[in-house]
Amino acid sequence: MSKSQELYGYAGKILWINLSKKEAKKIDLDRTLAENYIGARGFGIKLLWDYQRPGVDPFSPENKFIITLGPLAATGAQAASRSFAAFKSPLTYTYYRCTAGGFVGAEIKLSGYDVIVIEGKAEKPTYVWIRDDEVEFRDASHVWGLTTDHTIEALKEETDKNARMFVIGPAGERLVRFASIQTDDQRSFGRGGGGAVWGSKNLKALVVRGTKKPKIFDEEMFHKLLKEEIETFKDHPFTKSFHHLGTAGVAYLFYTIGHFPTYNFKQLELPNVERFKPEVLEKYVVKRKGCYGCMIACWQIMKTEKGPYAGILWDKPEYETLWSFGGNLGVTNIEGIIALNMLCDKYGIDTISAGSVLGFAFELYEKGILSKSEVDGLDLVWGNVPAAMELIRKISLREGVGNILAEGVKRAAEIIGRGAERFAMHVKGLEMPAYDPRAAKAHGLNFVTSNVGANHMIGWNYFEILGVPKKVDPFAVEGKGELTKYVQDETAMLEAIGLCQFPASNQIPPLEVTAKMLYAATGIERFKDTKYLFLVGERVYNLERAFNIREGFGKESDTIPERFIYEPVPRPPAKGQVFELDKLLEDYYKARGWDVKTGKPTRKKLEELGLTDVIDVIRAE
Amino acid sequence: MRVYVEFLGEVSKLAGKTSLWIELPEESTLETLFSKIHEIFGREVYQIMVQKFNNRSLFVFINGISATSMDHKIKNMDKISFASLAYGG
Repeated sequence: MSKSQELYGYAGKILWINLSKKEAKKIDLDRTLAENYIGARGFGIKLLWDYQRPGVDPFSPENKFIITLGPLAATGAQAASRSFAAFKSPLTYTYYRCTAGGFVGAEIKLSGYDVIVIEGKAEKPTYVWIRDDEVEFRDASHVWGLTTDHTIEALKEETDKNARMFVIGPAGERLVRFASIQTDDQRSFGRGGGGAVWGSKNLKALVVRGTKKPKIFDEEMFHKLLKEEIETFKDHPFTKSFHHLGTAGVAYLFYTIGHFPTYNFKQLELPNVERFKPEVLEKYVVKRKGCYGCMIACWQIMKTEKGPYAGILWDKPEYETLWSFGGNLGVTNIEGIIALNMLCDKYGIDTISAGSVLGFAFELYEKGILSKSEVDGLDLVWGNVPAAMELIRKISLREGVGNILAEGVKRAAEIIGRGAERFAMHVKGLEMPAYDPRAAKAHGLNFVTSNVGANHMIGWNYFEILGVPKKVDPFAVEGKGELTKYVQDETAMLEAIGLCQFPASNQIPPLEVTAKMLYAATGIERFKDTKYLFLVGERVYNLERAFNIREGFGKESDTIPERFIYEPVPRPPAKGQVFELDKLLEDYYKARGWDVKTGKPTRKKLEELGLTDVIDVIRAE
Repeated sequence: MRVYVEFLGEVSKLAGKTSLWIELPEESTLETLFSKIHEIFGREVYQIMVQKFNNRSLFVFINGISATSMDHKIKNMDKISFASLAYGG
């Protein structure tokens, strides 16, 4: 093979696991796939599009769970070793993508794989133990039922103490629709119910230990660029700021700018919101750590020393979790939120959806739609942390009312009826995150149109939220279609490279440097061109949309709870604002080059993106 | 007029304070406030803050609205938040 045809940067293999057959095949990574989709999120959607039959039930053995890495993973590049997952979600029934930090992604790459496809269903609880080329299917009956942290301890003991892993907890085993997959270092494939997909496959864990290293196309150039990249990280104020308190540092600030929504998005003033100020939160931090190959190190370990939740030493609740169990439930007890966060990680459920589900239940209780006897005697009044703790346990174990709430707010509202759907805050079945669409219209438009439902990390609109690199009026409607598209495509591009969004979207390093590194690592000429990288981002985004259209989703699913459309925000600075859905959506479809009547990408757009094979499948015009 | 100023996160360490009330003349702008910060906290703090504000690594929000220009007008009883570079997730 000539040097120009060999794959550099990539590990060069796809590991294709069939749990039903206990089979593990190693397939060469196709160079065309690499050139057209770069890696990570790009590989996930392309493989799902090509190999998954339309209409497959998310809990069917046929549903594929695809773990992917980018070409810079485990090369020494900074913040480039995140793992990504693509699957059909049991919460939304759409395409879903997750991304997790930590060390396990790099370990997969070091084992020699860019992609792990998991399909089928194991006959009994199983874990997969990967050591470079060796793949072993092991009985997991002894750890089935254990919390994630105990499972990790047990599996490290019987495999390799330095092994890295993904595991599910009791919630995933019980098919809680928003069950997460946790890493051995308290990161997670958090949203969308990937943990339940693993539970449906009887897959408890994927344990990995690798000793290989990806080959670099031009070592000298790559190391020169690596030095340049490290300098941009070292000197940037973001690095220090994010190392200090990570996303938790913005909780109070975001409340003041109209986000960190309160009381299930009723948005009343939150008494004692000062408890979320950085100077209060930082008192709980006792240690800082970080992901593989990232000098920012934005994990903070918190310790509780007083009150009923004393004695916890756990990863901090992120901004989203401080909100979901904080402002969203009227809770300002930080120790209580730390405890709720830990409980979710141990049971293996998404903290964002869990808090949203609780907010939904609390509001139904307040409105008298759910009586005390219907919630198993719990007093679901705003601010009640012990009731929230018990409800998390019930949801995770599907006990009593927890069995209904484990379905997520959309399905739970359908089961409960009596007008409950008015208080179910979700898009396409995915519970809302910690931003109010009425207080940032492009960010809201991102929730409406996102291919995975209401996910804040699919198009985090820094123009509107922070006013960088250019200030945009968050309450204005005009021009928000183009702005939403830009950030969504940029995010898809960064995630196709496999980068962490935090530094990358702050231009650390500048995209031009990343492009040069991609070329130096892979030798693929096209990756030098940042315009091409953006084109890939748009291609990925449109293919994800096409996947959902093939699954039966259309314009009607691009919507948002009526609370945002009809109830003006009662507190400043967004006081009086509503979300102008129809106007915003039309503007977005036009900006995307999609059919305004159907919400489908047009034939012209698909041709422009090199997605001609998609045209007939989705009947694009 | 009086305004309430709060310094969040890293900025509070720079200023050595988390919040204070500041007296300003009528018709003040953000530039006037920065001058007052110079007076209260000294030249070094002032210079760092102005430099960070100019390179967009220090955010200023006036009553929850992002202020990106020194000409931004300030009113009596405004709440002005200074925060270091941030990201939610």
